[in-house]
Amino acid sequence: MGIKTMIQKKFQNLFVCVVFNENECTLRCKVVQNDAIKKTFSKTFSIEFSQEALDQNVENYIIALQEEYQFVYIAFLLNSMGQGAIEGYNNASFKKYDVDVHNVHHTTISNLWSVYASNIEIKWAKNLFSEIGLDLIYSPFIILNDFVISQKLKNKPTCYILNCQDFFVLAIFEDRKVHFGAFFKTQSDTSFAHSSETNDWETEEKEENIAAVGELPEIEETDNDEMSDLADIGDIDDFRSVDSFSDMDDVKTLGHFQGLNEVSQEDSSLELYGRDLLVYKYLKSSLEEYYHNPVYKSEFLEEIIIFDGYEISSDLIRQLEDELMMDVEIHKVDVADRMCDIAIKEIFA
Amino acid sequence: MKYSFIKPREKNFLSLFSKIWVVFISLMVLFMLAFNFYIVIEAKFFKQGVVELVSQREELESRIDHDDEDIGIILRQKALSEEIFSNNTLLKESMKNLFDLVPDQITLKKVQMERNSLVLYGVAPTQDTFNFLLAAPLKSIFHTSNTTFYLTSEGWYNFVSINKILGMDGMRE
Amino acid sequence: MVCVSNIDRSLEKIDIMKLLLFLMAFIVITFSIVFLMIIPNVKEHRVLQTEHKRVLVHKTRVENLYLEREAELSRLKIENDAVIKAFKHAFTQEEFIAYAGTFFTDVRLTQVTKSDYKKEFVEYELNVTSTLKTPTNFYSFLEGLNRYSSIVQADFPIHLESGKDSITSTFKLKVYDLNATR
Repeated sequence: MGIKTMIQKKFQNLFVCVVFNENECTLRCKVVQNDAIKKTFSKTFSIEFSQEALDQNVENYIIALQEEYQFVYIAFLLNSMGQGAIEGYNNASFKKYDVDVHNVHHTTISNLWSVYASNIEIKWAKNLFSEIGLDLIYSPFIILNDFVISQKLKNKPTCYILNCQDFFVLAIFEDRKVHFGAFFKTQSDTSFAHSSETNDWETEEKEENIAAVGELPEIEETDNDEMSDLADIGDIDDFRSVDSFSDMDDVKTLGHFQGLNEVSQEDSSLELYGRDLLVYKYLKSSLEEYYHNPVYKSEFLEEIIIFDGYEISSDLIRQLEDELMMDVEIHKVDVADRMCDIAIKEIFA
Repeated sequence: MKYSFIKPREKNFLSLFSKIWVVFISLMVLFMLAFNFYIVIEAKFFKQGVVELVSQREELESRIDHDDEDIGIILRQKALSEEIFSNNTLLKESMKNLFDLVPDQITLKKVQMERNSLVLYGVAPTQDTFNFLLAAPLKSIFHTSNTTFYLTSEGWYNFVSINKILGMDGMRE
Repeated sequence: MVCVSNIDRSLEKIDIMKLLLFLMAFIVITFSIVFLMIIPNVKEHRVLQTEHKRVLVHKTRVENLYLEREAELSRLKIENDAVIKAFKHAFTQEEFIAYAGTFFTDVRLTQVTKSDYKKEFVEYELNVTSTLKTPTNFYSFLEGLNRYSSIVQADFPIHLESGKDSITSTFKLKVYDLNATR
């Protein structure tokens, strides 16, 4: 392996990083030869997202690249539910956080914490790339970790967020160790919806918001009841169900999150719209989960550092600063680019 | 650092197409080299064989010469012995002939046989007896015959007959 | 950790350049091996083979000759066994005296100086006395000489003298002697 890689380094190696964003597929490509990046280019395709196969244009493009270059590595940013991060790396740790270790693929970071993803999702990803092949699958937590350690470390636990168009991940780092991690999708996935109707839940939320305004006084009472329900956030299944916001109209399933929705409305003095609102909601519930669930060692978090690969509105920042009493730091990042670098480092040591 | 959930696929330096060609070419080369090797080995074998055969043939030739010598010796010996034996037989025959020639009346006292001559000393009753009975056959055998008679007191005649064969007849030493 | 299987499309769309290159390489290699190695070696092989055949035939011929000679030699040896033995047999006076003694009484054998030529023979003078009046034993003696264990030739001069009841005779004997200069 060592010799083969060393010889391979002398040739041109193409790294293609595939990132899905809403209705777009971005390919970030870097050509590496002799430990130097010879060429960098990107291509973005507008696609209709399909569960079964990649868009034909994307496939053809990648196939063409595979014909052009002798060595091609394809890396994919896993954007599906069913992934997360936990402290520890042994079977006991997985059990502690209610993750079935046999149903997931997992990776250990620095012998301190682990990233995991459901086997089903991994299989789905491989299947998606069955025509062209898949070499690397990265969880957004890996990308987040890379950004975190590239910065000066904070000596107290800090909340880090990696924000992308379709999702964001949240991890509470102390030094290099992760105490708590969560993955949230902010884009509806038609695959998880049993109903075929495309849900424009942004519009729905807006409607909710409007509807909720009048109900403000009532909601206050239910506040305390709902908080205890938030303790169940650690369950994967719940995360799954978070996605199907088409069920928002159904009272039966997402009771506590509906409560959340109402809570945040009560708290905000400003109006947050759409995605920002969702982000805020998830963030808040995660923090509360972290504070209240005895399974997590919790200390008070003072800072939120956001690595933004999409857009964060100033409203949200202000909300976070005001409501959660935390300092917010934003860094603009290129997720695909960083993922490409990580892939290169992984292959060529 | 292994961050990916899955291991990357094996990357080959040679595509299947190239691999097939490489295998094909190397197989052909192998066959040709094997064939060549076989040819070279056989040629070496022939070379060795030639040397061996030549030395064998030379040895056989010398053995044949030796055998020829031995055969020559034997043949010579055979010829020689036959000559000797025939001489001995001839001698015996001559003696026999001679003594058969001698009639009862004549008694030989002494015989001196030489290669080319015969001298007889004997006693005969009468000269005529000798002349008729012995001298005539002697004359026919020998070239010259001389007889001398001596009268004895008893009335018998002692004779000395000298017979010679001239020329190259007879056994040579 | 399962890997996605390798997708090799090299056989679907054949790269003409690569095909031509490999073909070229194959042709060059084959031709060079054939012309640089195989052809000369086969030539040499052929030459050596014909020579080998030739030499083999020659040797076989000679071998047959040899076998012939051997057969002839052994035949002659068998046929002339007595004579060969006789030639080898060392002549001793005692032996001959004993032989002659079977025919005659009073046998005396004296060696006579060799003549210069006919070097293979040693000459003796034999004096015998026969008890019989008739010379029959002479005949037997002479006949038996041919069958004697050595090669002996009786030669002139032969003198016979009859005595009272016996005949004394003197022969020249030529005995074949191997040890005489050959």
